[in-house]
Amino acid sequence: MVLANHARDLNGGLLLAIGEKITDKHILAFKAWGITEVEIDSYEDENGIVEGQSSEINVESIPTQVREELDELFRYTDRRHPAIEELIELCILKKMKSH
Amino acid sequence: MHFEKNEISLKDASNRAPSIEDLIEGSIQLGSLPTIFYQINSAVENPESSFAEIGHIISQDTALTARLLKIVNSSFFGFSSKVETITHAVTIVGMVQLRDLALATAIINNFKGIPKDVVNMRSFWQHSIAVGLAGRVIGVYLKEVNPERFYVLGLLHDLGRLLLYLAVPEDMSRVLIKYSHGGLLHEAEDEVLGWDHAEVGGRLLRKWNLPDRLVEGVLYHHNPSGAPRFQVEAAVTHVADIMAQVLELGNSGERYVPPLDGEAWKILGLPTSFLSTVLAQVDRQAGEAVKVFL
Repeated sequence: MVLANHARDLNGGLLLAIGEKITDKHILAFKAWGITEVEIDSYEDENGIVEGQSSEINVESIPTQVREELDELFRYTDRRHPAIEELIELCILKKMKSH
Repeated sequence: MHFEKNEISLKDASNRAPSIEDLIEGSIQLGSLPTIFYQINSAVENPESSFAEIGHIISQDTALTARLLKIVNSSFFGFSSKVETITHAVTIVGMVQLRDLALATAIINNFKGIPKDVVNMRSFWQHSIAVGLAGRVIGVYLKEVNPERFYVLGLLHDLGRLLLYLAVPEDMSRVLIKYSHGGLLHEAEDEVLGWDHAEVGGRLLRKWNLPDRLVEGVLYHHNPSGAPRFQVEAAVTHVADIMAQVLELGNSGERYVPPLDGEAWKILGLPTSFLSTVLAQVDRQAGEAVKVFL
């Protein structure tokens, strides 16, 4: 998990800066300072794949079957919209993990 | 509440699609919600009601009580201690939220007993639950009051299609033939019938006297920027529908990801990086949500 905003204590002091990766140690520190929630920018799964960051997927590495499934699924969607671009990328990651 | 398929079948001797009014009025069993829902609703809307009174109304229906306690004790809420009474549930979940969960439960129950050859109900609800979960996560992120309403909207958004499959199966067969030639399912509905499932669903909710927020959220889920008053409800449901379709969790008939309404995306102001969080949470919660709600 990566911070989407500065994490500050109740007095406004900086605990962890935006863009920093959050570790278990940080979470303990947040709890000690009474911080119950922070905004995160990405989600890292158990395999260490960071979702939510633009991982540059090599198009050549995408199996043909996955590409065909994606073409079908997103057939009527404008793929140029940033949200759809992101969803396509997440969809590729999900499908490649299950293939 | 169970119903027989033939109670809602609308056969039109002229072989023409019935009017949308006929469809809504003809759906006898689907046209009503259990009385207890309206009792809960009027108690929630009465500022003098206490938690205990609402707890008492719900407790009169043991099946509803059991189901609500199961939901409240699931990871859907993630409370650390066990919630054993409805009054306790009302206290910690909140009256409005519990009313909305009671509505979700009543609606799913209303559609039990539908033959499998008509619609794959499990798959239908899986999709609706996934839309509800995604909507709820987005609602929490947007710091919306009562994010449970987005969960209910997810459950309701395609209800109109269920009614179409059940009440006018022959017309739906014509729709499916049209759909097989290309395009989106709701467009095929519109071309063949003159209206689509969103309109049917919205009108059904209006007939049930449900709040306009829910009616518009369903009515405009394919065209959220066109919603006159409750664009956030429609936009959240629209984006949540797209995400559920991307996850391919269940299916309500549509095979494709619906086009994104760019205006609706702007209204919500979500960062694209947030999408991965939503997908991960929905993926994680969907299995258990299906178990507790179905």
